[in-house]
Amino acid sequence: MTKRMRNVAISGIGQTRHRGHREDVNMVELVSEAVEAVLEDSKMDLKDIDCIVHGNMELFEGVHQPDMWHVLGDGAYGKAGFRITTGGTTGATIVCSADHLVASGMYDSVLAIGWEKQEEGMTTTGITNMADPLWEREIQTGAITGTHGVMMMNKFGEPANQAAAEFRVLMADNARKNYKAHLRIEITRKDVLASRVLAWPLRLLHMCPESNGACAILFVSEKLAKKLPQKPVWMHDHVTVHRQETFDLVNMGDLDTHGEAARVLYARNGILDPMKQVGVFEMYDPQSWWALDWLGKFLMLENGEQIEMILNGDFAIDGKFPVNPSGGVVSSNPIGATAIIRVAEAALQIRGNAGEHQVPKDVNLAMSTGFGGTFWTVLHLLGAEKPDK
Amino acid sequence: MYTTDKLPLDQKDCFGKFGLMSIPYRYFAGLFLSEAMIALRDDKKILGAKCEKCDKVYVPPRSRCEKDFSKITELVEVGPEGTVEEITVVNYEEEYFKKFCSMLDPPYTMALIKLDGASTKLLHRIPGDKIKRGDRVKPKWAADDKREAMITDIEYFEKV
Amino acid sequence: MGTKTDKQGREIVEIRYEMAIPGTFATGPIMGHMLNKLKDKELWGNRCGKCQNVLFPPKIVCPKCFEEPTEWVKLDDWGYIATFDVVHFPTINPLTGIMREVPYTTLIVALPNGGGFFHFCLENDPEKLAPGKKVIPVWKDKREGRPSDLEGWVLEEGQ
Repeated sequence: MTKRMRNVAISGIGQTRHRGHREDVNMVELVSEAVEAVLEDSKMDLKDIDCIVHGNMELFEGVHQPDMWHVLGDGAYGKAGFRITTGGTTGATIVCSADHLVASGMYDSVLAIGWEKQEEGMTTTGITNMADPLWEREIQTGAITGTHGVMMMNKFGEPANQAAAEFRVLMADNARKNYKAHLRIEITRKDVLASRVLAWPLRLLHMCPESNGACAILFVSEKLAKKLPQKPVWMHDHVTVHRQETFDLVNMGDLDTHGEAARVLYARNGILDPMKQVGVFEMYDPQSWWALDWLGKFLMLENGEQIEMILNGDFAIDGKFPVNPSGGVVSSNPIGATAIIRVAEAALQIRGNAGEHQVPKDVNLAMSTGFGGTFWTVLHLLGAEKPDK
Repeated sequence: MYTTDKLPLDQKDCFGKFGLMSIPYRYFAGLFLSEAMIALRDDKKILGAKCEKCDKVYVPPRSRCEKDFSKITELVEVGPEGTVEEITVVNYEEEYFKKFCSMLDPPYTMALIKLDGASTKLLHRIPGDKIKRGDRVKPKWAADDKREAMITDIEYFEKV
Repeated sequence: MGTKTDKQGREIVEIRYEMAIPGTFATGPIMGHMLNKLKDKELWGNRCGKCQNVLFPPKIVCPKCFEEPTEWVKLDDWGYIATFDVVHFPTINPLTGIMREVPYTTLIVALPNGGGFFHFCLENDPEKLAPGKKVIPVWKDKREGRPSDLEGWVLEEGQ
């Protein structure tokens, strides 16, 4: 059991429809759409919210301190405000922060907002600036990398190629059920394998899109959760694992921040068989090759069992262990919002009102992840029951 | 220099490497703000956003009221004259800004100007260093073929 | 600077600009040592006294053990491919502001002394590349103590 001063619930969720083009709004207006949605969902009055936690990746829009000029759109005027920017994990770290702020007793209601308007910048060039300027910035290719694909192909051969493509098809099937998803395309395994190569064996359809979108979640104390109309989703635990900044990819064992986060989370929460005990998994999958590898790491599958599970359809919405019923990151990726969307989607599944992409079962526990930097992991565990029960 | 007794180090290995952080960007003003920017270009009119709930008029226009979070949909004409409320005098040239717009020769004044009918102050520039608080100013518009729906469509403000 | 017309025919203000901020990155004595040695066509890393791992680029602490490295290590100038990327998606190099030409290949070389070397590979055909194949560096004639002193790595003959 984790140490927790008091219980924290999610009592409101708001998202924009994630899109490739949002020229009709500026950044502030995009954020305000998600805030309006969360206020509507939670029936909470903005003036009763104590604190706003806000985040994105500033090099993607080129605006320094966006939290400052976003006050108009996020409702932080006259309130406590915090800014979080931890790369791809931003959304997940915002959730950690909001969870802490309520759990500590500091605030009773915290609004967490992640957003990105990626059409305004050049994502891969922005990402390249995180690399060491003396060495890796001359060489790094942003997030377009097939290195995991190369390693998976080398280890498992053609079945890995087929499974990565099949998982992408599953994500597209799920995204078509989620009207907020950006890419709601109808594709086959053949389409994926015929799409153009970005970085061999990574193909265009394996890769996430650049999206514009925002997501807001309202975190409240137990006392306040009881007064609000939505079924509360309880925060159980979160684990963050970092590693060094340079891309020393020789020993992939070193890179297992996902496995490390999962081991800690499972041990602390009495999870012996994640696929039996956890109902839904919203995984940060920026590309299908990573998804293929990471499913194994999070689920402790040491011999590539996930390959056969994908080909069997075990991760489908009505499968044995549903993964990304929302369509995942390969279907929508407004980066600063992406990891908070994972938490939001996991919470929607527990609430049971995810809509057309709701899994057809009661979800008691759900997991979500964030990924960013040089393989950092944030892993969240949410539950239908309070954690101290 | 960073020192350690564990590894031999040499001062001549400490040097600086020139580098750049160069990224292209776009910024979309959104439909609401665009209307006001286009009015600068086409009609030489300054528009503010009026909150229906609290009557506050934002210049530059904003689509949300900071006070009550209500959505603003009404644009109203303000100015063109206004009153200088705060000033600072600039005595140097900033190379970086020249990339974006033509600059005034120093010394010039950066001023917060409350346009007639506005509730907020607009930041703009005024030639010279003789401007005082309370001075009345009016916009000096850029030539018709030079205006491009930017705040610099007003080249500067000048004394009435 | 200007406006664009969206799909519904509405005029929207769109500002295009390049943010180019110059800076000077301090090498410090450890990174600087490695960069200076590139001028002599030598690759240097350092070794953590605790876990004995070779760190490349050399570091002030071992990221795993948080111990100061205790030894400079001259690395062999050959290695095995650990993994590679044949990149077909052009991006702007933020250090120059210029779009990279595609395709180009990056790779991680597993050096026999230990440590990994992230750089370019001069072979762009993924069919010819595979983890485990032996590669050697190609040096530029003019070297100034920066990563680009190396043209990149090529497959050793017969690989």
